[in-house]
Amino acid sequence: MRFALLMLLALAGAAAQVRAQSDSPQVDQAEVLRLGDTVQHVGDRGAAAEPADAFVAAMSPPESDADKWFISVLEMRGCAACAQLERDWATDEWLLALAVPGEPEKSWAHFRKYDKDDASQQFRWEGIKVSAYPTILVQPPRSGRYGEAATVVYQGVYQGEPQRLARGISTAIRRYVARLEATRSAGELGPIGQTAADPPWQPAPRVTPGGPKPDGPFPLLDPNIPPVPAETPAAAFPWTAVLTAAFAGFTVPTAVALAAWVLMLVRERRRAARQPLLLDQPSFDALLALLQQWAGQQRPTSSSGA
Amino acid sequence: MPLAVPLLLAVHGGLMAQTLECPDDRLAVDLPREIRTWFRNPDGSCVQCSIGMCGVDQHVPEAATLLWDTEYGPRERGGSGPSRVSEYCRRRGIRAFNITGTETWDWMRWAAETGRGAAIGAGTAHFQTLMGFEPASSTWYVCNNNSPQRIDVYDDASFRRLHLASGQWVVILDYPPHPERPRYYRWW
Repeated sequence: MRFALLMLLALAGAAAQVRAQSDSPQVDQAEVLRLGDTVQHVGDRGAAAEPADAFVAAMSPPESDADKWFISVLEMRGCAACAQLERDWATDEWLLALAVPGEPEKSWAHFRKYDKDDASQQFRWEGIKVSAYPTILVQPPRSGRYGEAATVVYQGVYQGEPQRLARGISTAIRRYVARLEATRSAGELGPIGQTAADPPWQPAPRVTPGGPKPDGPFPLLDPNIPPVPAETPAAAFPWTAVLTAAFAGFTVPTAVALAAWVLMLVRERRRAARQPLLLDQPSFDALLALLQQWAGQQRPTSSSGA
Repeated sequence: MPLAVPLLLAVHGGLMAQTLECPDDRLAVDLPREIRTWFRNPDGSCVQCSIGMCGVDQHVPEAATLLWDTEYGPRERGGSGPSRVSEYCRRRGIRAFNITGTETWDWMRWAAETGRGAAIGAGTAHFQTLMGFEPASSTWYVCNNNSPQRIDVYDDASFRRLHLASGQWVVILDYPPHPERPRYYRWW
């Protein structure tokens, strides 16, 4: 009887322990999302710190309130993309991993939204250029651990893709922290780089209320900090088709090859200039496939001589 | 005698006043003079003036607009105690730490160190805004809503007298601190 009672007590204790463990999350999934694609090699005693170490430390739960990064959203009233960002930030796990609006104790970063027309806050943004809304700004913590808290580490405009925004922020922090580490190890002092009032890109002209409106809810402009390197046109000139045309005459497949090359060139130029693309990638791929198929159907007819 | 204490404190604060203006590394709060003067005490509403300044600094419109009739609620004018503050904070949905007693010193230091202001008892039956604290020199920075154009500087002993003269009560908004005014550094 006594043994049975002891067994019951032991079982009850074990059950309580299991229940307590299940109450707290066993995996910090938010931190996993914040890190994105990261490989950190740990365990070598005496080995020098590797580049991933600083980034992993930066994205870990902050030690104190003063160690939290700042995420500010600049929005304007009547802006559909701003409303969409607000909805996405309330539900999307990638964005919630960075900040939990309205719940500062659960939030990795300090998060606030600012209306561009709020006269009590406009003095804060006098040093930067904002040309589209919603604009998202990321700044280092005020503890000074990651350099000057005024530094704009990330500036971007929301395009309706929560994961892309979250990854863009994480990538900017990764690059910034790596640069900071390199600067510190080189013994440089003061803020990284040079102070400048002008951003590293040519901001598009301000959108006036009476001006043309974009088709979708998201702004066509996407000024970014850090700037995304412009892609160079990679479409190869169809020399084979041109030579064929020169020696064998101008055929339908030659015309199709030239047309496809022109389409790719235009597309790459627009992408490099950060202009909206006329077709999304699947539609463009389908169009190219259709052209190829059509050229293939024309070839036997023109070459058989039948 | 009761009148002499705030008078002496005011004179002392005035004597120690330096040319100090936001933004400044010594200050936790970042409010330009023009905005501080919006919160000049109109009618014995020092508690709401002090909380209002913190509301602008931390971008909490529900707190920033306490003095006026707005979509966030009717104006709150006149004197206040902790119970009235908790009542209108609850009604407007303002998250705040409403602290009385001996722990106010720690809370004020915490607020300043994390980049927040605090509405604090300062002077007899008066509330002011704590703008910052420098641990190295034990210097306190305070903005009085009767003279919001300037920021007063107090050493530790003077500040202690100032705070105790009102009774130990502070209100700190439970929201993130303001970001630094962003600037472009070519770091990439």
